[in-house]
Amino acid sequence: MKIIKLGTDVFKKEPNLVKIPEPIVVVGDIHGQYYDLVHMLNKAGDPSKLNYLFLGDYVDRGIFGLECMMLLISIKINYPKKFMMLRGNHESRNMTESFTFREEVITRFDNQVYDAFMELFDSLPIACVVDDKYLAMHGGISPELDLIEEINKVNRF
Amino acid sequence: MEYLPDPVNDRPVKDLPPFVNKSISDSLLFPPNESGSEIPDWKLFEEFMSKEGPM
Repeated sequence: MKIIKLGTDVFKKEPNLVKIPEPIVVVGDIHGQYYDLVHMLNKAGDPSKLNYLFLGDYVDRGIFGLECMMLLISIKINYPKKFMMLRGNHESRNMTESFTFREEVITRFDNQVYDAFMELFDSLPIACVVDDKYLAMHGGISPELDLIEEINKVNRF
Repeated sequence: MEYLPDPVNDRPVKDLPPFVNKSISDSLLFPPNESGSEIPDWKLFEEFMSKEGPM
């Protein structure tokens, strides 16, 4: 619980649209594949020396969603400016209920831990600008979005 | 990490590390640092979860 709370505090301080410079490793859906995540981190490089951007969908489908989240949050607390994590569509109450993460957390822990994760998910930033060149996010660009600055006007909490 | 003790020194395969005996303690997971803030040792945590399986 302590790591989840510390992580939530870190994410709450970030704007909806975060920024990160190059060189960077951009990572797509993890979906509870803990051993693939560890293997990828070993292959791509030490997060203390490299910038990382994760595009969301850390949980559901795979059976190690909890381990994936705990590792990613732990790294985020260590390197908050170099290690960015965006929100995917699976970081929500709706998706975790329909898929596997809610069941995983409640079976192994309890509702309190699940609620703490949901608060953390609500705190994740939405999009990222890489090196002032690329716009990164989990899904797509809303047709209602005209200016990039408008992303920061969304109330994500 | 706290490994399974071998009080009578009779583990036959000594070149393999023993199993972790207990869950990871707060003092190991949050080592003291200069700033005094609580920052988890993510490498230790990664190793623990990789070796010991589901939390």
